[in-house]
Amino acid sequence: MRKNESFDTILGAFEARHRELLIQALGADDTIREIRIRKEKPIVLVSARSTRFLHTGGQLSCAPQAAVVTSSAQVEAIFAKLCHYSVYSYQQSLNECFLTLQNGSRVGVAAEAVLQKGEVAAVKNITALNFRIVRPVQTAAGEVLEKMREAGLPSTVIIGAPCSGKTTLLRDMCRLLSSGYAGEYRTCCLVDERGELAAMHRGVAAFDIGVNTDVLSYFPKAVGILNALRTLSPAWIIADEIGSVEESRSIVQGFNSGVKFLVSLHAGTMAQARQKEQFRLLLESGDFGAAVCLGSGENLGKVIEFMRL
Amino acid sequence: MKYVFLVLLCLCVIVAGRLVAARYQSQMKRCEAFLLFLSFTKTELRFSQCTVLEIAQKFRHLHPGALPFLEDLSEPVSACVKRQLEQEHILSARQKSCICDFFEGFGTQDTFASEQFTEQYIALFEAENARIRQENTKKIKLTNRLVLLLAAAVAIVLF
Repeated sequence: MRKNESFDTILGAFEARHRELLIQALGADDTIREIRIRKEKPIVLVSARSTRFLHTGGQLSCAPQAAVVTSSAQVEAIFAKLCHYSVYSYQQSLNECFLTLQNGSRVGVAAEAVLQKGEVAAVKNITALNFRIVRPVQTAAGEVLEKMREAGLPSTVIIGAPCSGKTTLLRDMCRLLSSGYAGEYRTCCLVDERGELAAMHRGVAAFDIGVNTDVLSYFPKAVGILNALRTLSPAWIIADEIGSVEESRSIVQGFNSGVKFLVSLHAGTMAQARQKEQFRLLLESGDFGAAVCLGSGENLGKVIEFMRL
Repeated sequence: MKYVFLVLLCLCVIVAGRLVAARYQSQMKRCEAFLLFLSFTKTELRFSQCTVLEIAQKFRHLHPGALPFLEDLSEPVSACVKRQLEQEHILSARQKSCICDFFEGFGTQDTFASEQFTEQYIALFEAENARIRQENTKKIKLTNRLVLLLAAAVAIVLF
């Protein structure tokens, strides 16, 4: 993914005046990873080191006074544009408070839930949008795969805090596995529940996911994993952010079919991961052979620990 | 001279009647095409969840020329439709305004609400179509009566 593509998609949603200021600010600091806009509040730009406000000259300051404010109408217009003026088209992801843009960037959405029988049926009154900027980063995919190869290339779980580069690492590992890593073109299947891993648009992936990879987009992971097992006969299944016991059960079922898994899990450390029931279930299956812990902040994208399980 | 005048009057009434009928028929055809678009939208909404632009493009591909105001499409579709409807001469101002309102409102809600919204417009345009049909029949009948009356007048004057 080229740097410009991510910027263009995100900035294209803003009105001209704000767009120019943001281009200036993003050009001055290439560590900025988030743009946050809220109704009647200043525009916030977040980098690895600080949180700053956008000012009228395009400069960033730690003080919110006199910062550029986005009006309610502007936030609503940006939201409508991001949804391609078709909110229903993004309903499923909006119910989980995010939007995935065509280039695979994720936009967090703060809104009010409309409940029906205790479940989120829709969202209304969008109040804030959080743009995550996709930047081309050097991942540790090669290093992790090398360690995995030494361990016999077992099923592996990648553990990391939010924004630690789990998705990028998974995608890169998938690309290598299916593109002839160690002389073999493995059949991979990406179960891309949020449309972030492959960012499919009209059947074509926005990211390089390798030459021998099939993608199941927007399927709930538990369903997608079972579908992949039944119909696509993959050697590897790759899925992001295992978040429920049901998903873990599907993975265990997959092990019984002889498939290997490469999955990620939200957790700061291995100890935190062990607190999660879905992870314990995976460990109990005995089929995961390795775990990788990713760093965050200054160690963003780096492998902190590689453990054989 | 007066015979010629009466015959010409008859012809004028017939031509005027036919023109009015043709206008109503064109309106009916356009409304039916828009109804088809609305049904298509409802189906797409339920089964493919395409964006408004994609739905309009698909429809244009399947029914080329059926709705001239969908010829030039880009986002936001509502603005394109509004612009193209200004050049539209077949539909009435009320019908144009309804179509604009549909494109303004469609897509701002979730699937269920969008379906309901589309259904409302289907009902609205079905009623509009029925009204045009009724008006058309009424005008044709009126023309026929006038022609008959004039023909009778010509006959009386002539014989």
